[in-house]
Amino acid sequence: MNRKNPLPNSNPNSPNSSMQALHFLQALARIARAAPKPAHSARTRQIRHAAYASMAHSSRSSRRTWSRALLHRLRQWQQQRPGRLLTVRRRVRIVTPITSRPEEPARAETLRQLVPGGRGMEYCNLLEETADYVQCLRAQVQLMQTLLDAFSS
Amino acid sequence: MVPVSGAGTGTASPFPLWPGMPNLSNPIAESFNPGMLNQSSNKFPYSSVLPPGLPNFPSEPGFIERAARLSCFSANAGFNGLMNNSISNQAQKGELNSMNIGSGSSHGNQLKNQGSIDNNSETNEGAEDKISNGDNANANGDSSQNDSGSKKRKRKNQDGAMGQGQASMKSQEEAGKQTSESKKEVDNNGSKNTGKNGKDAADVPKGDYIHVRARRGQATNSHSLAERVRREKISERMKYLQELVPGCSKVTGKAVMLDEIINYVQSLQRQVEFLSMKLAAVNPRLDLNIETLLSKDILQGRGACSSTVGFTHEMFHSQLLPSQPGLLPPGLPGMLNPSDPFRRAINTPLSAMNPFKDPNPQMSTTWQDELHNVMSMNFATNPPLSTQEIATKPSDGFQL
Repeated sequence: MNRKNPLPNSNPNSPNSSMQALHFLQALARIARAAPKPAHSARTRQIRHAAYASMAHSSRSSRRTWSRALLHRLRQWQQQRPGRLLTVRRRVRIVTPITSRPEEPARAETLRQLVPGGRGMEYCNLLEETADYVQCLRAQVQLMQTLLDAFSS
Repeated sequence: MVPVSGAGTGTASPFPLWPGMPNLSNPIAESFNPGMLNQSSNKFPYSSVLPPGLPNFPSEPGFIERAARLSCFSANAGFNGLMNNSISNQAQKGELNSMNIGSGSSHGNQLKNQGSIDNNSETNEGAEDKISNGDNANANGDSSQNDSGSKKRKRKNQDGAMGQGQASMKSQEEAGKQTSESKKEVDNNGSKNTGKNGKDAADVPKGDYIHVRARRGQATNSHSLAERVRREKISERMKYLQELVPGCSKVTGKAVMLDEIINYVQSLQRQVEFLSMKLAAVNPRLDLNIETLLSKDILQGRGACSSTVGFTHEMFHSQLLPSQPGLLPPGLPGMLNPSDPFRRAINTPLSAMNPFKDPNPQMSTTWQDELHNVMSMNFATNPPLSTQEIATKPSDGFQL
């Protein structure tokens, strides 16, 4: 099956992470080239969005549910103006009790909130998505750390 | 009618007769059924209740097939084995049928022959229908149900009730044989294949179904099998997550594991936020650097940074670092520690960047070193950091 778990990919030089890194670097370059905003928080937000976008676009995760949900969430964040405190959600998502089954433990709800797109999944798929999400997050953190260390003044 | 004796010699037919049944097909029953009936009488004490239960029979083969499919018996060994057995049964009965046709024609009774041929051909057709149903078992159950329904209609339209009796008997016997053989197969294969159970979920599914073998001594209910598959999938994924999350190999139990996973995901997300803040602070001065890095291969530096990232996780996990955009102001002179291996890895991209940063290469290098010193001190002692502590460290470098 295509969806069988791959081996844990801790190699930072794999093509998956290089695509992720390239995407992130390009986004950073775009942010840097843009008109420098004085607000530090705005820049922070842009970089964070760029990080999540590059995570979602990596070749390993483009087929995953969480990457699509993350892109959707990103679009919502970008449409939201920074000055607005309250956002009016036009579509209210009703979480049916089907998602909480007797099989899964009580903490699964927290995990569902953490992993993007986790609310609509069964527990078994949720675990798989969590594994992939953790791999991508770890790669992204490593990438940002390296960039931070490599960048100087 | 002259009672023609084929195999039977005028003895009372062991086959129960329906009231009002014509005797013309009796010898056919006698010649056709003795072998079958001996078997059937041993196995099916309820063969005498055939007449009242007649309408139920045509649905049984389809039901058995559907039940077998629902319980996810493997089609490779199990069901095809069943089908092979049933096909061999069919072949035997086909031979008996042809023999009866020969014997019937020799008697010269036209009506009887016609009836017998019709009966036998119908039973052959029914047999073929069953074979085709078995072959199509993997696809959908509705077709088998439809076929059995059509069989029912065909049989009811027939004049020879004996033919119905024969066909129903045969179908019931087949059904019984199939169930008993399926149980035997399960037991045999369960004892043989207990070692192969690990690959049940890994089998390439034919069509839409994943075929699972029932283990020896376990319930073969379809629900319990599906639940067992699900539990195995969940435990497999939990093990995989255990490998991913650092520090979880000594933790046992699903609840604690789940807490660890949640904590790890939260810490990773916090790290992303923190690092993006730091990058935002550093970024305004790095327009040229990013272009350079894009052209160079920065991934070589990432391999050396993995060790620090491991520390970073613990650092963030145990305490919350406040955001320090002004933490490391540029242009700070600092100590040089050439023995730091981490710096060596970073210096290579830095040296590559030097042509672009001629105005202040010295300051950037020392600033970088100062950053490393701060980080290494944090890693070594891992004390709770406060803003004053971090702010005073560069000043120490100043004085030196």
